[in-house]
Amino acid sequence: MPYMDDQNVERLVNTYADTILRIGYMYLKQTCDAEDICQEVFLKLLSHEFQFQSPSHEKAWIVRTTINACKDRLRTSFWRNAIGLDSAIDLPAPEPPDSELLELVMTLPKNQRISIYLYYYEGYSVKEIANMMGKRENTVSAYLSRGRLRLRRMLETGGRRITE
Amino acid sequence: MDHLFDRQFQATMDRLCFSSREKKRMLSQLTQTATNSESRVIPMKKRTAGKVFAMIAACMLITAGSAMAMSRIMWYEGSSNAGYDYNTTADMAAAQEEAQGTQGTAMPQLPDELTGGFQFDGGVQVKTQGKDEEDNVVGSWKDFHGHYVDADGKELTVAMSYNLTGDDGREATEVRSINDVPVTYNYDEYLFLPDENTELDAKTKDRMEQDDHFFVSYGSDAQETVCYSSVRFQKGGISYSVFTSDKVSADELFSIAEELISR
Repeated sequence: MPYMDDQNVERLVNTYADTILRIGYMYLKQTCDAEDICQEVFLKLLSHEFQFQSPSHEKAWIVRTTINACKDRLRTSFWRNAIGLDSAIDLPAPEPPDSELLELVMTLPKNQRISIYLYYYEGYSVKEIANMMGKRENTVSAYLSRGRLRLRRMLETGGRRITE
Repeated sequence: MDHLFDRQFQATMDRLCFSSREKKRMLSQLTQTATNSESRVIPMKKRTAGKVFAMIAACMLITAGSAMAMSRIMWYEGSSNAGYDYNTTADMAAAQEEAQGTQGTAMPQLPDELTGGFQFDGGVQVKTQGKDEEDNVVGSWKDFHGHYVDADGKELTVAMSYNLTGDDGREATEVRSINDVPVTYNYDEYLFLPDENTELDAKTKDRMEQDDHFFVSYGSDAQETVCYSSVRFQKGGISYSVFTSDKVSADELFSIAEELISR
C-alpha cells in the first residue's frame, strides 16, 4: 500500500492518533466513536498515494479528514441507536479526563466547541479553521466569540474561576 | 479569561489521549490490514459514509410501508461499519453464503461491473431491524449492499435483502416487466432534518400525507433535500434495490435491473 511502511505507520499513529481522538471526541462526545474515526482516517491515509508538502500540510489533511469523517458519522444517526459492527474491542476506549472545564466546553454547540478546540489547543488561526471546517471566516469568528461568551457566563454563574 | 482558559484547556486536553498499549494495538491492526490488502488494493474513491448511509436510509424508508409478520414496520434501524466490510464481490459473496442460514436461496454474487460502467467499489453488511409504532422489534435480518462508482464519480448501491417487502402500497413512478419480473422505479425526494422534534410547516405536512414520493427523515447533520432514484424487484426469494442520488436515468437503472435479473 502506498505511504505504507511500518516505520511510517508508527510515526503517523504516534503523531496523530491523539489529535484525531480529541477532534473525534469534540464532535461525537464518545471516545469509542472517536476511536473508530481514528482507524478510518488512518486507513484512508494509508490507502492513497499522498504527497504532503510539509508536516503542517500533512496535519491539516488529517484534521480536515477527521472533521469530515465525524460529520459523516453524525449523519449515520439516521440509524437510531446505531452501533458499530467492529469486531470486539479488547481494550476499552480512553476515558475522557475528569474536568469541569471540559464538561462546560462539551455543553457548547458542536461547531463552537470544535472551533474552540482548534483555536486554543491546536493553535490554528480563524482562517485555517474556516478552511478545515468548510465554513466562512466570519462564521468561525462568530463560533469562537459566542463560545467564549457562553463559557464566561457559565463560569461566572457557576461561581467557578479559572485559577493558576 | 483567554490566557488562563488557554492553559487550563490545554492541560485538560493533554490528558485525553491513547495509552501506549492502545497505540500499539492500533498499529498492529493497521499493519495487518495493510498486509491483507496489498494483493487486492482497490483505491477508496470519492465516497463518504454519510452518503452511503443516506442512500441506505432512503432504501429502507421506501419500504417502510411494508407489513412483516403480524405488525407494520414503521422504522428501520440498521448498523454497519463506517468503511467497507468487503473489497471484492467474491469476499462479499462468501459472507452472504455464511449469512444464508435457513433462507432457501443463496444471494448471488454481484458482478464486478454493472451496465453503464459502474465498477464495484466495496460492500457492507447491514444488520437491520424493523420496528413497529411501539418500538417493538418485529424482525431482524442481514442485508448486503454493494457500492458502485463510475468513471465520472457517480455512485449507486445495490442492496440485497431476504426481507421481502412486497407492495409498499404506493403508486410507483414507473413499472416495467423484465423477463416476467415486475420492476418498480421511483424518484423520491427526501427532506433530511437534524432533529426529529423539528416543527414541520403546513406545506411539508401536506406533502407527507399526499405525495407518495416525498419523505422526511431525521438525524442528519444539517437540513437538506436529496433526491433518490431507485429500482426495486424480487427474484428467487431475495429483494433487490438499486438506488442512487446521482444523475442516473430511469432507463439506466432498468438496464441494471435487467442485468441483475438475467444473472
